[in-house]
Amino acid sequence: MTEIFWLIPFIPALSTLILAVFGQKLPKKYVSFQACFAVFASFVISVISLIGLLQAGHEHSTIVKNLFSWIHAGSFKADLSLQLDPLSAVMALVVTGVGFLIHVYSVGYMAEDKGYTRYFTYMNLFTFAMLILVMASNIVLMFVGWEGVGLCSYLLIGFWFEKHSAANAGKKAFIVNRIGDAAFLLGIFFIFIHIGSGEFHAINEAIGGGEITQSIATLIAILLFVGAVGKSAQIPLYVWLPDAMEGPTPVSALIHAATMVTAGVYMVSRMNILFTFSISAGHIVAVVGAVTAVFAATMALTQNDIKRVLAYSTISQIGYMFIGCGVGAYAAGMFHLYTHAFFKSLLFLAAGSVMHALSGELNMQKMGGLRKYLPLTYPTFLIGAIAIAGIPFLSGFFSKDAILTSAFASGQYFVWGLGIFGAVLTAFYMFRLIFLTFYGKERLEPEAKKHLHESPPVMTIPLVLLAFFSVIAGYVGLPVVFGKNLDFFGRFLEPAIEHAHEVHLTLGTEWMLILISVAVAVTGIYIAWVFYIKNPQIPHNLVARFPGLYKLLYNKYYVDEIYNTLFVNSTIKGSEVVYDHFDLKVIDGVVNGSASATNFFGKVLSYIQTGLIKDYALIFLLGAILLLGYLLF
Amino acid sequence: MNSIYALSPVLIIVAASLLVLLLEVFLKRENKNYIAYISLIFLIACAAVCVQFWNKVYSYFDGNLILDNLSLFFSFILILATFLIILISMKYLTLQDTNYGEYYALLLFALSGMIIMVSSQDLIVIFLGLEVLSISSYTLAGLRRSDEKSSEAAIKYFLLGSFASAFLVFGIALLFGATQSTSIPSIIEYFQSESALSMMALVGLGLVVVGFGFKIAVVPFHMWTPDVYQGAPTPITAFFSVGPKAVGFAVLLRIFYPYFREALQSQAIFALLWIIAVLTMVVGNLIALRQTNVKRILAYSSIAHAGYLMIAILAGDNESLVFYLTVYLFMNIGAFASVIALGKKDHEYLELEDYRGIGFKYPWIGATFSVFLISLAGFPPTGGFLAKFYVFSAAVRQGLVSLVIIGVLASLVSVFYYLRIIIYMYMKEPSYEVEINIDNPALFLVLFLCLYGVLQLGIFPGNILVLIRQAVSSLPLL
Amino acid sequence: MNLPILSIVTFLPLAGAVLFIFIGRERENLLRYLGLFITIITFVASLYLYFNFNAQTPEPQFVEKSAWIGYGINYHIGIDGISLYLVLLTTFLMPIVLLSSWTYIQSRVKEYLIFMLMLQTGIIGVFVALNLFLFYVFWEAMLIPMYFLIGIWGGHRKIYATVKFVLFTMLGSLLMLVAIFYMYSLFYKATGTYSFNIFDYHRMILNPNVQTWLFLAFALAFAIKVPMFPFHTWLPDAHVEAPTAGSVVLAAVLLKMGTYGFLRFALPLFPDALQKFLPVLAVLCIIGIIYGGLMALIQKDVKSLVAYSSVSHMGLIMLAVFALNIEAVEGAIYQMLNHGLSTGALFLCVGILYERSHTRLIKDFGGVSKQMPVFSAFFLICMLSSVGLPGLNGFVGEVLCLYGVFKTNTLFGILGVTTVILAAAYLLWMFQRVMQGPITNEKIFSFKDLRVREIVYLAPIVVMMFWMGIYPQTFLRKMDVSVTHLLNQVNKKEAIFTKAQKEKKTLPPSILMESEKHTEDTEKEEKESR
Repeated sequence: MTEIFWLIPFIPALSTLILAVFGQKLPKKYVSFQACFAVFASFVISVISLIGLLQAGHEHSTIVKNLFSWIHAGSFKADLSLQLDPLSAVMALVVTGVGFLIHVYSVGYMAEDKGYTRYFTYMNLFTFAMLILVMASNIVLMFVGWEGVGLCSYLLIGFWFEKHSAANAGKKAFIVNRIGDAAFLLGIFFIFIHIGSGEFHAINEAIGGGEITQSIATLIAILLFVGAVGKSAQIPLYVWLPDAMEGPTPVSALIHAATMVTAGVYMVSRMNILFTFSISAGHIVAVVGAVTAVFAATMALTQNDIKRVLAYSTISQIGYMFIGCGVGAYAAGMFHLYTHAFFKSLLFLAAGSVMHALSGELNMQKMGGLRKYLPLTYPTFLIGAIAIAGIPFLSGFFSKDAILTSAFASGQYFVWGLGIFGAVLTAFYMFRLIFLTFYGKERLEPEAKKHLHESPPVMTIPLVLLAFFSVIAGYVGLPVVFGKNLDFFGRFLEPAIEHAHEVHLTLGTEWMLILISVAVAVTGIYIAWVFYIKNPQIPHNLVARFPGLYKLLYNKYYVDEIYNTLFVNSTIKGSEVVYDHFDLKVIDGVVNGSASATNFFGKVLSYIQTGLIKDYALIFLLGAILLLGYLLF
Repeated sequence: MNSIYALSPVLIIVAASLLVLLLEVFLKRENKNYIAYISLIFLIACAAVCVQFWNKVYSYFDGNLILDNLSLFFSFILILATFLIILISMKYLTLQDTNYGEYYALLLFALSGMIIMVSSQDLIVIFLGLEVLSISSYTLAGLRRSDEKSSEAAIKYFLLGSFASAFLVFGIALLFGATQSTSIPSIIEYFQSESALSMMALVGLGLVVVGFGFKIAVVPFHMWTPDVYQGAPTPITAFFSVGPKAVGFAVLLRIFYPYFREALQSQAIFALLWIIAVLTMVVGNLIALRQTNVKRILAYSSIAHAGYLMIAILAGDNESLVFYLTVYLFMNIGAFASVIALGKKDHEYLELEDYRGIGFKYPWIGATFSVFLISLAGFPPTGGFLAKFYVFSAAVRQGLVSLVIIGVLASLVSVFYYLRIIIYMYMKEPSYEVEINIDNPALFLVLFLCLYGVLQLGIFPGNILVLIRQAVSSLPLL
Repeated sequence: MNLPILSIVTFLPLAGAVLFIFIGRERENLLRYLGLFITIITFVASLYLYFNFNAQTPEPQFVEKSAWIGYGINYHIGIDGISLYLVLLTTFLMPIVLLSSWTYIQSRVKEYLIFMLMLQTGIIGVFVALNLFLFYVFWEAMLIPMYFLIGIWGGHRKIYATVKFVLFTMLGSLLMLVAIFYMYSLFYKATGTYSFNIFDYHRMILNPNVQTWLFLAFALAFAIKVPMFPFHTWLPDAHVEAPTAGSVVLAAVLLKMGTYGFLRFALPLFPDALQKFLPVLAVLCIIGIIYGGLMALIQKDVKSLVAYSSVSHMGLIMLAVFALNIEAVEGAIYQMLNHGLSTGALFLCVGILYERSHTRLIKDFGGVSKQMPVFSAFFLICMLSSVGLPGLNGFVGEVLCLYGVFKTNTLFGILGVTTVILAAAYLLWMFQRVMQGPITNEKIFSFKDLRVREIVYLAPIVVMMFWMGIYPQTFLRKMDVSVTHLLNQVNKKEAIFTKAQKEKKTLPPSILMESEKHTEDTEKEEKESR
């Protein structure tokens, strides 16, 4: 049964094709049905393949299906070939599973939108591209998916292109991603030059066989990681993700929380041998991840736009995943990716449901006390928040703990410390969000209050399901403290992820670490409670106390402004100057100049043509004399 | 072999002209066209004779008049030219009120003069022919009595022409003094025998160059060209731009071909011609840029072409020279014919402004004119391109790379002013009505013939090249 | 090979043009349909070339050779894996171009079609000619129809643009002509026989000092045509002023004549000079890539934006050509086709907008997608193909070019990759300002979405974009042998020459290669035997 795994990406592809060509003529109902069904079918196959893998066991845990040879020129060979191994299986499962729920949710969310068909076309296209990304068996094909998801995110962020902000955000996302992709491409070239093949197994063997030096490995790893930084919105290329919230909320949930933005993490885990081999690269990944985790969290503290808070939290959470990969605990990173997919998409969808209820209101300052109006949205949202905050026995707790533990184990205490600090912030801003939205007195616009309503079941059911997974998803990977060999997830991934420097901590340390992370989570929540429930004056006092700091955070460290002045505007201004003064004046000037010079000579010469016969005779004579003179002397 | 036949072409033409003069007295003004027809018949006869004599060498006046293939070929070209000129003249004369019987007579006299020039090896005889040609040319230039520009042209041509002739005679005299002979072969022999030329010989040669330089209008002896070309009746201008030029080059060819074949290139005379060639190409083309009168543009273009032909002389490549002249005949007469076509009673359209939108108003004239211009500019697949191609490639083969580079750059400049006419014809909206008299079958016949010639020579020149090779084979290979 | 298929493909359009002369100018629709018919027939005929092309041999195929004028000037045509696709590209685009100008060209339809058909013959001729004289004839003759197309149907500054185009191009080609003469005489001196046959010239090994000048002359002509920085300024003017159809042909095919020239002549004929100038040329290409991109970024006119994007793209192609390895050169050829399709398509899209709005200024647009969803889909795809998105044709070419360049020179490779970012920047920004955002100019509300005709001519291009992006093997495989052969030629001749130099011989301006002494006649026999 597992042989048919290669169908997984192509079902959504087919559906995309149909929708793209005939979509305008098809009835809405059919469109949504087909779109959701396509994803569901892929989901089913993914499940089947996964089961197949589980049965197959470790030795033959990788199946490669070579469909046809794609680009062959000289030594550059890239085939259209897919591979199924634990890593891609998990990803496929997440993508199709979460994807399916979000498709369903969208049926309700987008019901009123004119671009209904277009929306589902894009969504299916995205699913296809994402599946190609995760199932590609060589890095070039992976790059295809990589760029493909970038395109879809461009299209979906700019889905309401009539809005300037949306169009801008889409463009920004694509271009920023392209910067990363350029580096990624260079990485690919280096791989081809030094390893001679783009197939993952070949790359792994080559590195295993020590065919390339540390430095080359580091170079390649860093280049690839720059690509990941772009795609997964890490420092310094994270700026596009907050703006990406211009897109429809389900899109934010699927692409900018659950799947696409985590592609970087997946890629790093996929190339884990490379990143393990090059120690410095690993460190860089860990540090970038840790710094981002905190940096983004701080920015989330002061935002009032409910989706932007979630966006920054996404950035920060991906930071955690990179910490995991960086310290060599790829399994942990993947684990967090997988749990995060559930609770973050849950949070986004819930936020979407809130917006839906408030007819598009995003500003938390204009909410409050909503819990009685949104009986289903509120609890699910809460579950999501608890999960991400890292309260024990929900999925987020296990995965985050796994990461922090291995960070500590690897001895990078600085990274671990940042992680812990980030955890406090996370807990704080999540519950700030909860309290501002659902508690306290109502600050609603009367207009919005009028038709305040819970969302239709087609939207709430996915919420419930996701909430359910957010609770239980973590139990496939329990830490050692609960007993040996409960980390099914880790062991399942083993064939795809070689275990790097395995460091064993004593149970005591394990417990200690767990307690610490629990403690910080609780503290964070407590502070939030104090600030926003007990006595809501404190925030204002703080703002009054540290206005500079507040402004800095509120304006996200002015990074966008800095980038604009540094890169965007300077480039444009510079180019304009060059165009006006060099291209037109100098280069074209030479061209036109030579023409007018020729013309000028013509003018000068034509003066001798006076029309007076004596002049003619004179010139004739002079000519003759000069000529004879020349002959004689 | 020595035979009276050698005289026959000249005799036919002279007879024709006398007959025409005679008839002119008896014919009424309105049916002067008969004169034209008669002249045409005679020309055909003469051409037939030339064809008959091909590959036979006749000479008379103990070798002073010799009818070898070269002279036959040139005579044929000149006859053809005159033939076309007469065709384009017929309507023109009535329209532009130049309808005098002398016209055809003079044209034929000029032709006879030219035939003498091309079919003689002796400088004196050549000079006689030249005078016959010149005198009739002066008159022809002034034939539009109503138009003072025409008379002005005649005067200028006459004065400067005699000036030039004087130089020529003096040159011949000096050469005679130096070499005891006026026949080209013996002069050449003398040159070969001498290691270094005597001053007298050099000066003589120089003066001869000056004399012919005037006829073929090379810088700095070109000054008369624009004014005369502009003033003279347009068919006559066409005639001047083709006939005398061809003859002049024919003679220069007879003189310098064997001379340069001897690779005496080090000699000053070579450098001199080199400079003249460059000057001619550059000056001609540059001044042409500034002209707004089509006849003047074509005048300067004919100067420039003289420059390219000089390259052929310098390369010592007779074949390309003759081929160039042949092509030049078609494209230039064609161009002038198109200009003539754009005329009505008592008015010719000669300013660029008149040409706005012509291309679409009169598609056929526009198209053909464009083809001639494109050929003059030297674009493939026209004869103009192939002609330049041969000349330049021959020159490069002789190692005259720098000269050729100057040549191609000059022709790049020329492209601009040729295309400029096309711009006016096709790319500018007419600002006022241009009415032309299109009831002119003879003219359109000429247009067609020239068009055919230009394309035939451009695409399938094979046969002509064979003939030319035979023609130049008669040149002495010393 | 009794049917002279290649000649048919080449001269069918010309025959059509001649036929048109005798059709009344008032019967415009007859003319249009007839023109379309002729071009389609030509395309079908050219497909025969593709299917009967033997990918196993580097020798030119469908060769036709007959004596013409003499002096080594023969009618000698044929195609190999390099020219095959350029011919196909031309024949494929021509019907599309005619369709695109169906309603745009209302005045002087007859002349328009005549010039279009003449142009097609000229272009194909350039790609199939194996005799240098013939090549030059087509190369120059092609200018005339283009001159008229821009000059008659162009915009406000059409005359300036068209004259600039012709003179600029001729400057290069005339100097090249002199160089051709020089080779001609060298060959004559070396062998005592006249020849313009490319293969004879390939057998010549030239003294490097001689090569230097000849190469410069050839390179200038081709660099102007490509156009390489700093010879590019004629391109924006020509593009902006030309009618849509003109721009499409110009961008899609004419520019390729330059790159083709480099591949066919400059590389194999002057390998040593090439090596000498390689750094300079490469740097010029790099400048072209970045410079063109930056200039495109700030253009106010959509057409000149696309024009500068061409400068950037062609820069990459040339860089790949100069990388001289199989990946790069195949990539370059592939990218030529891509550039032909995508840039051509972009110009078509701009033309579609222009027909509705009669403006090309970006600021006059905005929110067009709302009015023309179908169009916006097509425009988007064309743009992405130009950006080089995987799955579309652009990516395959780009990645091969860049990889090849990277292989020979890492630094150039890294610099070249900037095109990936720049292309995205200027095109997406343009797309945003033109197609997205709120509708500012009320004129846009009156825009109608694509007509059937417009879909009909855009669809095939888009299909090709996907095909070439998803299954490039169809095209790549037929190039391999020819490209390998080309590269061998370059390297082999180098080797022989450097050997001669090592032996400290004083070298004649040219020597004949000892190997493959076969003369033209033996060549002919080989053809017949095959």
